[in-house]
Amino acid sequence: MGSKYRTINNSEDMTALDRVFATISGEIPDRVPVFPLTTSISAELLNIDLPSLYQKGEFIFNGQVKFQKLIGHDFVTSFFYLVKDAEPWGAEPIFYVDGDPNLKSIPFTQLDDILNIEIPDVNSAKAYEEPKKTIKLFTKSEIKGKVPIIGVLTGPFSLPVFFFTLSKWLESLLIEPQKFQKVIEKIIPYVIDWANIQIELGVDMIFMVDGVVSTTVLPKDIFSKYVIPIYNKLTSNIKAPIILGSAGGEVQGIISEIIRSGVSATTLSSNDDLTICKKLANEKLVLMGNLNNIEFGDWSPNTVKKEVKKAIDAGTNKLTKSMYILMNQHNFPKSVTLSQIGLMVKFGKKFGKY
Amino acid sequence: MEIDELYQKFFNLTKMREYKSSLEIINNNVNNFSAQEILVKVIAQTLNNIQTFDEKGYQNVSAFQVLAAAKIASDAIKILEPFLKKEIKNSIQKKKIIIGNIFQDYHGLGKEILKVVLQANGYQVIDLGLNVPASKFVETAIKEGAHWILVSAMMYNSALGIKNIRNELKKRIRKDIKVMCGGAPFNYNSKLYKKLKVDYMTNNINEILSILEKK
Repeated sequence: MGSKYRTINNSEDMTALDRVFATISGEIPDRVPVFPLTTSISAELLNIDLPSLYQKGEFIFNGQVKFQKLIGHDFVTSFFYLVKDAEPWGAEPIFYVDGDPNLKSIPFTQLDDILNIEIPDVNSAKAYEEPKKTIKLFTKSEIKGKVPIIGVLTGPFSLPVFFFTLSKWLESLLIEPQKFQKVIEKIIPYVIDWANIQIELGVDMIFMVDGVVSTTVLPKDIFSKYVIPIYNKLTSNIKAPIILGSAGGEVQGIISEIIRSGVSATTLSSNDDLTICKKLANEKLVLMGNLNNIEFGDWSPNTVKKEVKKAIDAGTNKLTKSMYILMNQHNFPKSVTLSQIGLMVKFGKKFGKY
Repeated sequence: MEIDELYQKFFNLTKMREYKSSLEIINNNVNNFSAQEILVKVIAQTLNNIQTFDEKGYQNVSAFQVLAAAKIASDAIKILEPFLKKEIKNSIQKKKIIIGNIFQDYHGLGKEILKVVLQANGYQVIDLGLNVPASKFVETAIKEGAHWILVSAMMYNSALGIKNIRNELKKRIRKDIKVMCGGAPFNYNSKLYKKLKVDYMTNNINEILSILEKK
């Protein structure tokens, strides 16, 4: 049976790619896809430290392939780290051995700084050379066509947080909403270009991390006015399915708005009630979640089993279409071990059979 | 207009995120009440009441709503400042509080909001900013004679560094200095603060004020 983006193999030996595309196109695959979100585990598997991992596309590629082969989950990603998207705009990263990279300093002092410059050319951006190399390595490998390759980028409501800080960015929405809108409009072509370049190179879908697009950060009335029109532009111009990554932010109160935005899927916060979200989504949106990534490291194997089963029961409740992917709400911290993640995948496969 | 009516109007405008109108109403009433009365009964009261929680204890107000209230309050306090300076000679300022984001944490939204709330409630706030080493929190608290360190973190990995504040306090044998923490990781793991050897954890503004008042 066909989906919007590709033909799905419905035979018994479904690949992870078939499974994920069947899920997002509303069909019922063999089992629930399992997405453990973690980047730091690659460094452990390659026996290098985190700052080294982020220097080369080969490392990201090798780490992802090794990780996927070990525990058999349902995606690989060319993702480096989130603040990378600010580097083509002049920001410099700083690396830590025990956590995610951050920015050395905030590159702009006011919104006019962005409005008065030309947007960087994604194609020639040095910062994207290694991520592009990673995608090329995936497309040449045996992974391509079997496991979905997920491209990641920062969404337009969250990218300016790296430019100005969250306080200053939100202050502009309060005091200068027109300027807030102008900045978003200005960066949309950049976001679309970077997404489409990744797709042209071979990623199968786009994971757009936009934590600001959640009711944890924005009140509901902002969504109709600002978020939906902008996301409609993104979804009509980006040539692959888009997953909205709320980075742990709550979305239960805006499920109908997310459906109107045109994205294929959304992540949920562990504070969201998956059963209620499933009802609100009404088989029009794929839900991904919502294991608590922070508590996960403290869970016993039995708790992992219970929590995975609970999530799958809620996510696949009363279904006529599947539209559910088991996932942690946001990246696992470095302290979460490979064996713990392995349990999530093991129980996900066990309880996720349709 | 009575002070209660001014509070209600200011609260409603703040809730609707009407930045200009909120400041206008303070400007128009600054000669009708004492600046301290407006600060405590209108601005602080609004900030304390704007943050509400659902039955599970999760904040049901967005970060933007809380930030908007803090920005309005901060700019309203600026209007009151010249009047407060004249009145302040006769009043007693509350205790000094050291605030900041822990080392490797650059997400200052919660801290900014807290700063305005504490100032509006009469505390002397020493803001160390973002990415602050544990030793600096402790050194500053000792130098300033402060008995409270309020530390914030948004990222889990950086939050783990908060335990170094307790280690620094132990080194200097300063049990009298209390540590309170807040931020996103603590919403997702209510036991985390115990691992970090912190005295109190809350993201609820009213709870913070209540702890500071009692201890």
